[in-house]
Amino acid sequence: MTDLRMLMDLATDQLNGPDLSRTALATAHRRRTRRRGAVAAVAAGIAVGGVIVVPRIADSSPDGALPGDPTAPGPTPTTTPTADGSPDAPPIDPEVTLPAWDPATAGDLPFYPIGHIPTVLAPEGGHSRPGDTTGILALSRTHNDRLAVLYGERGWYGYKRVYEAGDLWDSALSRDGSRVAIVGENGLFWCPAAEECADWRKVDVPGVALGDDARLTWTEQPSTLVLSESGTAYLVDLDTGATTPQEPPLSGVPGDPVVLTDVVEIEGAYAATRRDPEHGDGLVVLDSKNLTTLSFLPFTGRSGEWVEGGQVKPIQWINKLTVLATVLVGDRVWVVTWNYRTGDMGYVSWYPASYDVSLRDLYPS
Amino acid sequence: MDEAGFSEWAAGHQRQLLRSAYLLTGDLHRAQDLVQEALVKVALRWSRLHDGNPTAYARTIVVRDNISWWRRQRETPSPLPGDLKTVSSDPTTAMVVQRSLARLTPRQRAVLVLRHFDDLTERETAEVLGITAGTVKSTNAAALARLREGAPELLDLIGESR
Repeated sequence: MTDLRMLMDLATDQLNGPDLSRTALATAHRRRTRRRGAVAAVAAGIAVGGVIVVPRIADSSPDGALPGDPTAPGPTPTTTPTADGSPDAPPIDPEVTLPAWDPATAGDLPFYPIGHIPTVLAPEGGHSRPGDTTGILALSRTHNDRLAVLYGERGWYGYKRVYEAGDLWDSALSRDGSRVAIVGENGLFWCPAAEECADWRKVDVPGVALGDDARLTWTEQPSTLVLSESGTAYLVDLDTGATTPQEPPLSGVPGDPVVLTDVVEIEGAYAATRRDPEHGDGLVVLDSKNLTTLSFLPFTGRSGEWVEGGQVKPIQWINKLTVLATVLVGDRVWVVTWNYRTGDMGYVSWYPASYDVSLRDLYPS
Repeated sequence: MDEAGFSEWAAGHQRQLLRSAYLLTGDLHRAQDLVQEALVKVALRWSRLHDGNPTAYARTIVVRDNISWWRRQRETPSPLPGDLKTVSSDPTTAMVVQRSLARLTPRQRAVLVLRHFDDLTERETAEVLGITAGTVKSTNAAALARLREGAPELLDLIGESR
């Protein structure tokens, strides 16, 4: 007796397609680059949007200006396309280039505790009730789309899975730690972070922004965030439900000579990752007025190894000199500090790579 | 990203995904497109998926994307069968299976493929399709009934189906 299983097996037994994995990796890389660029530009409020190609600085070392002085006057940036139409890489003063660092050693950095940030940013051990610790510090999303807010050294509270959202594309904690937002295939939802959320509030947003590349970026206001999907972006007011289209970010061109992504801003400076096939990848801090490089921490390894997939990402400033960054090494994501003036580094915490974690603003720490 | 890990996983599962997608669509090119897109989405989430169940995730993408595509393209005529020698050592059986599956709705077809080709349980099938296990059971029964009524040539091959 032949059953359906055997018939379907026989009906496809010669089926062999081409190797699709290489194309899939290349496509994923292109989408990731677009996505990260869009989020970075929105977060930093940088006019160029999208993936940022750094313009050539006509004269990067004005007389009398000390390298690394964010207050030093600088020239107006101008783009100088090369023969193939691509802007040149901006010069980096050797004086501001630090010794190369291997991000794979992030876990070997000296421990650098920050306030109540737990040493493991994951819901472990017994949970606690909201409000019994130090205020919400982080949001953690596990690989099965469950959410937990983390309060401090041992405190966390888990949410039930948000089934009405469908598959989740992104989740984020507001910068003041007061609200949690998620976006999934069925829409955008939010909830006060300090309460057990029995009823997620849905905000109507254009369906075009609900693709699986959808990303959430909170503004400084806990009532507004930017919902971006490759090529589209909307400013969403959670309290009124108003959605305002934003200028679509520009797409980067694969092979651009120098690309800055994951830009985080502080008054007077940007921190970002820099991909530069010629001079090397690394973390940079730029003067936000004239884009001169104030500090460059090059990475060891080939170009793209630590930057293209978002393995190293600045996430926020914790004081005027120190950047907090995440470093994906194997199955762990390390949260590290980098003082761009002294070059000192340390590790604050880590979490499993299968989790997505967003931290509230820690500035000033 | 652990590209080597992703490539190793893809090499081990791509063919089964492609066979399932082909049974879902009856169109080799669209099946390849579905699997390609599923692999891209797995690659984008590899850091989160690699220690979970990337295959289940990829299968879900294939099935749901196919249903979404069908909803958008329902006025489009079904593709003509291609050279079945490239997909089966028994083109006659392949033709009968393809014509029979084409009589089903996309959900019925997905349930049959997931339950009877991918050997998923009712609960696993329900998770892939985003429906209840009870709906899977009733959909499966309805699909088999439709095949019994509308595809007698398949009955000759199947005999008593489960």
